[in-house]
Amino acid sequence: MLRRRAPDTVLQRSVADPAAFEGFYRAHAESVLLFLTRRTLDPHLALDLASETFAEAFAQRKRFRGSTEEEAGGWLFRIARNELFQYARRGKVERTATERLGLTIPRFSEDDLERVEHLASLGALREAARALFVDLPDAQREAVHLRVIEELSYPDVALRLGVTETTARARVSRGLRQLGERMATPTGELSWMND
Amino acid sequence: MDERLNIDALEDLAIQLRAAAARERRPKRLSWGPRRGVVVSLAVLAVAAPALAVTQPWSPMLSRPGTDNPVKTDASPVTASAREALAVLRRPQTPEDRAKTAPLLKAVGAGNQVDGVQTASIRLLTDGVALVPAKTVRTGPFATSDDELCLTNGTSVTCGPASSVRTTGITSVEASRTTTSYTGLVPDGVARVRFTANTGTAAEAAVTSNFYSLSVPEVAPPRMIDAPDAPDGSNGPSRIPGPPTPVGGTIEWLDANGRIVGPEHPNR
Repeated sequence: MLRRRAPDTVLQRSVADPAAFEGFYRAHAESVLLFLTRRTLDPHLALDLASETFAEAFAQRKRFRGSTEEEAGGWLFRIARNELFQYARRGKVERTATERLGLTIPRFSEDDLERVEHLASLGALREAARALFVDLPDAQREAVHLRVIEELSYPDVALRLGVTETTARARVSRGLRQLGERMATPTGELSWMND
Repeated sequence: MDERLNIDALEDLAIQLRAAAARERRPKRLSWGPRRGVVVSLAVLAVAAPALAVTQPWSPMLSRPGTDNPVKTDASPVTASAREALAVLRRPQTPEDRAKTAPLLKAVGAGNQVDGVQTASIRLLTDGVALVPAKTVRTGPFATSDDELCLTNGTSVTCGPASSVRTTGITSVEASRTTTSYTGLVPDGVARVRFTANTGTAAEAAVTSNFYSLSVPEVAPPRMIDAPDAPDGSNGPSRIPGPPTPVGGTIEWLDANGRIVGPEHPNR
């Protein structure tokens, strides 16, 4: 006789009991936020991406096929990486899942912000990123600045640089790849553009 | 239950996810035959309010732990006069009211001024702004006012007496470096709100859920204030410009035909 196997993980339990998802969230919320903060250097953006990550995980939890808590954590971080990738590609956070669930992106208090910056060692990371950014070739530095810091669209970056959109994309991509390679640490900090 | 998270914003998200999980757990359909199901659904749509009401107890976080005193809740309803004046209070509280106001409500406890929050009457006015009725608000060192209606955007709180909302509304004013913003609560029958600054600049906004928000690209000249001592003891200017000051003016309430219907005591 075939027996249905009891769920092994909190995430799997949350399929039948949605309230159980809160336990999964609490187990990973801080580490996902810090993961995203270290890769974006921007706690507000990271919180936006973390909210979308958990909303997406809640919506997709039936698709998790692993059997251990570690695998569930890995599955969640793959979603977080994908959110980062989508952000890098589109230049904005897609809030599809949070909007579908009716979630509002929370705001940091001053205390929160200090805590996150401290936990993510953001000061040191920003210094390191700034130093490497200055070392990029002029054309790439300018393209990365317009795209990532000024958040211009690729057509606007191309217009400002007086080049085609394809060239603008190539310069941004090469610049980010170089930054990612130079910043990559044994834990992969800041290598998100290449993930 | 699991321990609180160290980062308040993440705790806010936990509360919202809990509400989302509760919404999903609700049975989605009755197991009647398809034909009958359609008839029942249509009947419910015809009779019920567009939003689903929530009736379970709700204990949102109303202050910042370790910073403010805890804020008590109150199970009594808002005053009859407030309900008569404001359609937003006559409709049932919805899951969206709870989920979207929860992240804003910790500001209510700041300064330990608001107490006895009537949680069953909290409403979402627009994204990022909540209406929070309270039994008591401290209005001075030795003075309190009963039955108040407060507005909060998650960082600041403005309150006014429920008894006069029909005649004066509740108005919140903020100034940034270049812009003055007026937001507020107005009674039923007010369709638009017009603000005319003392300089002649005017702005108008539509009212939705008894709430409006408008801004003008002006501020008043900054007041000069005493400069604080420099940390290193060096001499600097003794007077410096103070924080941005809102530009003053007149608020008018307009009905659907554009007639001025209030307020009784215009804000100047």
